[in-house]
Amino acid sequence: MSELATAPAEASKRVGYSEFGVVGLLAGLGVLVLIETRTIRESLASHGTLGPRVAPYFVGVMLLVVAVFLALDIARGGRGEQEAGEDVDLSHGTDWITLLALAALVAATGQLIPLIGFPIAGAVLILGVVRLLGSRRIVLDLVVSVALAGSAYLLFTEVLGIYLPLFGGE
Amino acid sequence: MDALNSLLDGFATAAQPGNLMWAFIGVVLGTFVGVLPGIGPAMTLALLLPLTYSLEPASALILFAGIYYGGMYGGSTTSILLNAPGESSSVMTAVEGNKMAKAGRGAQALATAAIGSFVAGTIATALLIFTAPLMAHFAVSLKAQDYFAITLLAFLAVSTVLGGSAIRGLASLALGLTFGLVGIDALTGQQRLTFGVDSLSTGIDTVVVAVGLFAVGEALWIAAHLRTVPPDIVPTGQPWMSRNDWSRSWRPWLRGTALGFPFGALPAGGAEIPTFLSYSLEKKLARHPEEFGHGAIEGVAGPEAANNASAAGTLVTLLALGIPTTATAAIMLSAFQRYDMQPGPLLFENTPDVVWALLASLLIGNLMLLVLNLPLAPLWAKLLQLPRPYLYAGILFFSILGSYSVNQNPTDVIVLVVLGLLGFLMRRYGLPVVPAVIGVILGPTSEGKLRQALQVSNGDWSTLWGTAFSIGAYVLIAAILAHAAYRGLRKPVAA
Repeated sequence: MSELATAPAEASKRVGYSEFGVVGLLAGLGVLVLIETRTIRESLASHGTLGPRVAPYFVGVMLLVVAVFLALDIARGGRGEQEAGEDVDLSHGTDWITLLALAALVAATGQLIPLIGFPIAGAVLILGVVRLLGSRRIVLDLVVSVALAGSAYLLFTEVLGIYLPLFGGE
Repeated sequence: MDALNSLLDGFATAAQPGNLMWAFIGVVLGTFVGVLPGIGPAMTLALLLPLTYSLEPASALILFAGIYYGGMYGGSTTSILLNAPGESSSVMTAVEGNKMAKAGRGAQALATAAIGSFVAGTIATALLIFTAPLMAHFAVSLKAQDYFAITLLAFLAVSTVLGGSAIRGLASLALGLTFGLVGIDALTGQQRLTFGVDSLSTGIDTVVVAVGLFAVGEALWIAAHLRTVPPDIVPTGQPWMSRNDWSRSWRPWLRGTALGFPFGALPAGGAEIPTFLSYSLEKKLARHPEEFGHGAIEGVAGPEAANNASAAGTLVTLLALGIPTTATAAIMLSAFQRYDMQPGPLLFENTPDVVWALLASLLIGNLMLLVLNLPLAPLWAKLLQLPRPYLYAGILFFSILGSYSVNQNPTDVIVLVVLGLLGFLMRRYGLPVVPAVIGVILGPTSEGKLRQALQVSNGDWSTLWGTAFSIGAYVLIAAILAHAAYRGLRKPVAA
């Protein structure tokens, strides 16, 4: 998305098309919900009142209707307003590599917890995220990762009574 | 006075060392996350929801309410010293507050915000203590169809009144309602929208939805657009006010409270509308309106008071009706539900000890916040310099901790990432997150009330508009929809 700054008009048109992706997402989910709802069995427990299918049908239709109106809004020039914030700089484009790497790292950490335990998996996650986000003080990064993961583990398990695996393979 | 006696009992419970400690931890943590960019009270409560498995109800709710109040204080520090408000409730504070800070009056801006928050918080909490039981008493007479109508009203108001685009708010609501349906149907035991995936049959836990959309979505969004230049923080000293500042502040505090409390209690509540109204009101009434835009203290005092008073107003609707009007309230409702406590008219009858301890601890917490924020403001301001890689690594770390600890299930973390990516897309395309969270938490309640109403009427749908109250609610709903349609037809939202 580096062309964003150089060719704003063309970029904004392209961003305009990408808005229809949200329409597709809503419509696709709506169709999925309607198909899946057909497999729900009716039950005697709901005799005299709403069966288990009514609410999912309603929500499926709502998703489709909202998708249609959103498409109309976009066709008439409506655009979603990107969220601003203290640390957000919208003048440059989205950093997709960081985004996908972070998502993969979080997902992987979740799978690692039962294998190598929460403290180590947590420390790996923190170290990975700070490096991805550009921190380059390796000693401090290591100390912070281990200290935060370790102390959070102790606080939540010992003081607050929440179970988290210490070592893997349990 | 019955309420007074109950309140005294509440104070006795709240003043136990354990509960005092939870209130203190809550307000400190709340101020902490309020000051930090990228993280607010709603996200923090979502991350801490698993604590409901190990803490006593009173302790957890006192902790959560402390975080809610603390977040309101902390948010003002950020918006005054850093001209970029994180929470939408602090937008108006930033307008004049940051100008004051740049003109060397940061200390006065912080002081009027902290003292105003205390005054507003105390008055509004007192109002909460006396109106919530009255409202609960009235709410006993409400029937299932009335509640169903209120939930519809809450859905539509939250989706269409706030934010720039009604249709995007409704899209967000539809997504939330969909997630709320996943799992086993409470009445019939049938699996719904589980797509044959085993771990979906227990539903997607609220913790995972809220943490995914709020915390992971926010962290991913910011990480992909991280500002490389460090933010411009205005240095400041110890907060204090001159006699002149006091005389210019006290009326805006009271007017802000009067606006904030009722708006907080309304379904489209939250702090955005009353802080905005308070700002324009103060601008109109000011003796030196020309100062507005250059750092007028009234423009900080009013909105800050409104913002704190609205938090108390939100709790009236939450405790007496069981209807959340903000994201933070929605997550508090979810906390109550985890204890099998249903906020609403019966809450005051069934668990008076917990409710009154909670109310009393709000007054105590508010006092703690004043003490914490006045002398320590420069210390809190230092938090703004926290290196961003550590901040966002911490948010992602606690997101995993919270969602993994719910079921000890690695699949939940995959769902968390999917919802985080959805949260990213929502921020990119202007879909507000709050309607989705309200939809997830309130959706099942809404279906339950509709079923209850139809059961009583033996399947006769006309029962839905069979009470005066429900007719009133539907008239309001029609008005909101008409307004949204009018707004949508007149001008599409600009990019």
